[in-house]
Amino acid sequence: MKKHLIFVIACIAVCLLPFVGMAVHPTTTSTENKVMSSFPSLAAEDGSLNLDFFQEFEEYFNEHFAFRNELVFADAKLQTSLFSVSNVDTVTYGKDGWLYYTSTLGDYLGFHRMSDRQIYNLAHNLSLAREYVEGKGSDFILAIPPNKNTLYGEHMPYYDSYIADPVHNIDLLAPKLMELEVPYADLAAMFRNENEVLYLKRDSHWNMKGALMAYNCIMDGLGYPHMDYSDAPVTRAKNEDGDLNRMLYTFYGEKELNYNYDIQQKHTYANDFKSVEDGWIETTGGTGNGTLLMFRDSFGNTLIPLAADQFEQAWFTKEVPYGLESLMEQHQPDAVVFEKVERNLSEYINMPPIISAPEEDIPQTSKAMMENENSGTTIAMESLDFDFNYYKISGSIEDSLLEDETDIIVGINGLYYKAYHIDTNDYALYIKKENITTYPVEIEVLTKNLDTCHVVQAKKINEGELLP
Amino acid sequence: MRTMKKMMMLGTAMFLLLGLCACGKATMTVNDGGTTTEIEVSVPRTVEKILEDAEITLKDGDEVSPALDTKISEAQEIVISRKSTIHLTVDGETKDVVMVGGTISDLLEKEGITLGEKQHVNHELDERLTDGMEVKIFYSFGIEVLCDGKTITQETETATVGDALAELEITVGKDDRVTPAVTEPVADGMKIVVNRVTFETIVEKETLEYETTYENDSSISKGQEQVSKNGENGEKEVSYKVTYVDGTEESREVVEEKVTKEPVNKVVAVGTKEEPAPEPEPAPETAPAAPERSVVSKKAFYDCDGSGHGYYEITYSDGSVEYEEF
Repeated sequence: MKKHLIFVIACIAVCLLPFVGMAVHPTTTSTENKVMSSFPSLAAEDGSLNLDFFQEFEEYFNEHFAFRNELVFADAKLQTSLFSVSNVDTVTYGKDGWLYYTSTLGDYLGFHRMSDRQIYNLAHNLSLAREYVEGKGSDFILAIPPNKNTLYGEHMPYYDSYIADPVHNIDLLAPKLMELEVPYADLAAMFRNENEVLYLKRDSHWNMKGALMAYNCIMDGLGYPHMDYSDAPVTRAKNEDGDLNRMLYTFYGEKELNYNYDIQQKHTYANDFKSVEDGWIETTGGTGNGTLLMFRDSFGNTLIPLAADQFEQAWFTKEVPYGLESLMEQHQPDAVVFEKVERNLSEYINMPPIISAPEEDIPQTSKAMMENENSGTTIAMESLDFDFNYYKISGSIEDSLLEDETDIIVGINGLYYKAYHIDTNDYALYIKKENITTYPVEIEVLTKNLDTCHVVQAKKINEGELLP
Repeated sequence: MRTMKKMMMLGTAMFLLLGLCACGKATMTVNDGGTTTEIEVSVPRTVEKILEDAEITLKDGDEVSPALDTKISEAQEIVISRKSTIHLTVDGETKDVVMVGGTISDLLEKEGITLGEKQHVNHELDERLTDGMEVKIFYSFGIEVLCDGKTITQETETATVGDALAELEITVGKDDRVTPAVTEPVADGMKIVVNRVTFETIVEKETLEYETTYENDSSISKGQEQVSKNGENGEKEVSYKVTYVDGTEESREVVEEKVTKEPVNKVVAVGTKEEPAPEPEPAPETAPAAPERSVVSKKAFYDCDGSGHGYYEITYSDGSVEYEEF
């Protein structure tokens, strides 16, 4: 009887431990990329009783109960060790301890491959950005870090037999970029030619040696003189705590080996720099000539110290969509780099860089009205949320009116502009508000195949219909 | 029985404790071709296991010190010497040399190459050898370049005259002359001359001299001549392509001739009328004067080089012919 009582008390104690332990050992740090909630107040902002108190408390408790990180780690360790599965939706547990982003699964298996039209749209939008940058006298290059499983799919779990198509979006895009003359640092080809593994096992990014190679590939692509650091002293140490490792095992995952190059940093940070994760970073004092504007994502974290040393001034931004025109006007950089990981490529066809749409010369002789004037094509005009200096003109084009490589032109008060191709059948373009001087705004939407244009929709929009 | 059980448990605990004490941690350094990996491992541990922990794989021919089966109990450096095939080029001939570990210096020593004063290698001597490395032994030469009125003295490592000029950032135009030719190999003490060749088209006005023609005239007494039409010189525009070498004219050639004014030939009437024989006069006391010699024709013959020069063939009334250059 006594033994049973001790057992029951022990079980209750274990169950209460996370709650009671909050008094002395609450969880105050999280590996999740969000701000932890604060203890809810009984009173609402207006002084009344907070009816959501229990819901907010549950949320608070879920984040702060004692030994949370330790228990999450224990659960993850059990599930990966015993069943070889991840207990976190966003992380895929692979072979040999390799971890992958689950969001890349569709591209790896070939189920969410972009259509030919989407690949063309992607290259088309990038070619418009390139045209804008080069039109301002700057050099342009695009760099796409491949997904980890695009390069090292051999460590993915048992999915091999489910691969519907081994070709990746990045492979389909490369020839199209070449066709449209978009300067491209072919990182995928470079990594595939290397025998050595250059990505981290438990992180979604390249290791420092891979970063150094990517940096050299981008600088070579730009044609700028640069240090290649081939003779920099290099060591390896087991001190890398990968992003996927933290997501799965919190703070207790095993660290892994990474390269460390002993490079004397020459640049200094010109703004309030906290870490390479900052959204906006300005550097100055690099030994090279010229200036750099780099639109980048987390793969750029390891490129920043290397690239910043090669330019007198450099600006690195994580913003999406890219405020290309505004930043170009502000900084007039000598070189512009677009760096975006393969898994996020679709952002270029959903949120393309913000520039004033380039004009297009449409001879009247090449223009014809479609017989079906009441096509499903739509036209909308509104202020652009991301930058109120612009109007955004957008809409959809009826599926039957588009071939894989049909371009979309938009006429505004008699002038014609090249539109971005959005997703599959949509379009959008940006125009500065100061350039709209005549109302109502007369808008025409045209499709263009080779040299033949067809007006597929037209609309007049009065000033009063536009939001400020 | 209870005492026996307690002693066994105590013994087991002591054994485990001793085992724990004997099994410590140590930081190993693995030097893999200059890349150093520091890794903490449980000791004692074999070199093979330590390399496994450091995720370092060996290939056929690679050497490890200490040997793979050596058990290590305290911090120590493990050195890996990688087998590499080096593509070595000496005097334009390339051969593959297999090395295990080592530096460029070791490679040269193995091949018995001692670098002369003017000999160089395309890597630092202390650079480690890597598989597939291209190593080239080349020479440097002292050269003198005469170009654009300047004389440049340069120590160059380039192979050809063209490369040496490129190194000096001397652009050679398609008509410029380089001596020796750009494809010639560079030699020590070589003097390279670059002559800038330019062309200019100039137009000059030149006179077209008139010709004189002779026509028989029966109304004029034989032996007499009368100018029936005065001659007038013509004019032509000649375009020359002039070649300059370092600013000095070297040659010119006619590329076009345009006659702007045709010459008018002079016509001379030569009398053919026979006069009745006059009464013989008494013989003069002195000998009669020889009949006056007159020009019968003057024909121009132009040289074939288009220069406008040539010669006149002048035929006189006494049948003699003379030539005059113009």
